[in-house]
Amino acid sequence: MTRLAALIMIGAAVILLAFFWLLKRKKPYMGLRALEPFKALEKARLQAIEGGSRMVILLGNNLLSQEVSISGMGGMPILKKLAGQAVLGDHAPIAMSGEGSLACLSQIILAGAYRDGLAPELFSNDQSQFAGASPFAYLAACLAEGFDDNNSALVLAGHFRPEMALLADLAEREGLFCLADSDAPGTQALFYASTMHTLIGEEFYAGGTNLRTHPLQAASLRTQDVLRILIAVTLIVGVALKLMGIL
Amino acid sequence: MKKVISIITAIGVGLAVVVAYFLRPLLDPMLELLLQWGIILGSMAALVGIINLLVTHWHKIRQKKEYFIFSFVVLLSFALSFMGGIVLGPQDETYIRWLAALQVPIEVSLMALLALTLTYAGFQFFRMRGWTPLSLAFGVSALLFLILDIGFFQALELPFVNQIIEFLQHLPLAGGRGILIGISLGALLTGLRVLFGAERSYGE
Repeated sequence: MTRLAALIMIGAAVILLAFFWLLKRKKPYMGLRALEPFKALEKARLQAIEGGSRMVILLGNNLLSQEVSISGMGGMPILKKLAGQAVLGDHAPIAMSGEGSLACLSQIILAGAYRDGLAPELFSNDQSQFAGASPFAYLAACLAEGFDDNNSALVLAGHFRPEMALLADLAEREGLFCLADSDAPGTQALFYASTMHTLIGEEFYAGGTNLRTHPLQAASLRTQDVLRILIAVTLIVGVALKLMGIL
Repeated sequence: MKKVISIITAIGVGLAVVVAYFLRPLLDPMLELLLQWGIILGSMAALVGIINLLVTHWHKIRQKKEYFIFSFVVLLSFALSFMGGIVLGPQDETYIRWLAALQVPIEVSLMALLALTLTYAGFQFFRMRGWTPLSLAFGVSALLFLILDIGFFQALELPFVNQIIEFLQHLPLAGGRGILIGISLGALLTGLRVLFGAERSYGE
């Protein structure tokens, strides 16, 4: 039964994804609302370039370790876009990962951004750092970035545990721009209380669309919206049928 | 060519895992094999990550960057714990106790600091966010559930009050499930994009 439900969900997602991709192929981003935190991120990016400061992108500490989760990939489109835009800036952006496979992927993405920007010689391996093997070691390494005068923005995008709220709070107190984004609901609540620019719920996956990384990202966001509405309607109908004693 | 190979490998393995999941137990041996390969690759990536960590801190010391003393502490602690693990063995009780004696107090201190920080953030919350419907709902529900979790009202043992509390305590679960549904859909779509080769973090 579970497998059948999963198969139906995957099938529906594939059909909707293809439908929206074909329907909006010419103007994929038309009609999608821009999220405030990403507008603020764009401002922070421009300020970082003008001020000659650096952006630090934190990718979290889970992809293949602990519970295997694809949510760890949530920060990759953001990293790719920001790195591509900052290739020729005074200070190169750095990516900090709390897990080996994330560190490897971030290094590939950063190297690719420099290659695409026709400046592969400017890329240094130090830009992609494995910050710590345990969540607290990762936090300790990331906290140090909050005190670095060369940094002007921290972007947290990935799977984070609640203690990362310390970093978000530090960024607020140090006057750094901070966009905090996690797939864990508990951490989202703590980010909401400690910093201004937070993403809630499924907005976690809207980064790629808001930064316009790939047309399929926009189709994917539309698919998510439709599926969410379908699930909500199904749940409400199910509850109504249960109350009426039909189910 | 390298790019094409990595794309074909990623899509092929992804599809194989999905197909094997739906055709269980028929394709269980293949699924297990692929997952074992995944674990090996993940472990190798962890090793590469640790080497990256050491090299990065070594560069910081060599270039005498700001706060390079912390990098020195990282390398020294790594060397000590690594040597301890080699000499005594990673399962040795003394070694584990020695590491825990260092690690646990630091982690507990950070959690205590987090509690203080969040209390302060709670006081600053409305000044930072303003009085919007969302911030108001957040603030009121945070306060309400803090009070409910103290257990004072439950201790009164009034059936009517207990029923209301029981109802209220279901609300965060419902909200959490709503958020999780959204996140799961996002994860599903991310997986599909990886399968379609639109999300290529592995070969950019």
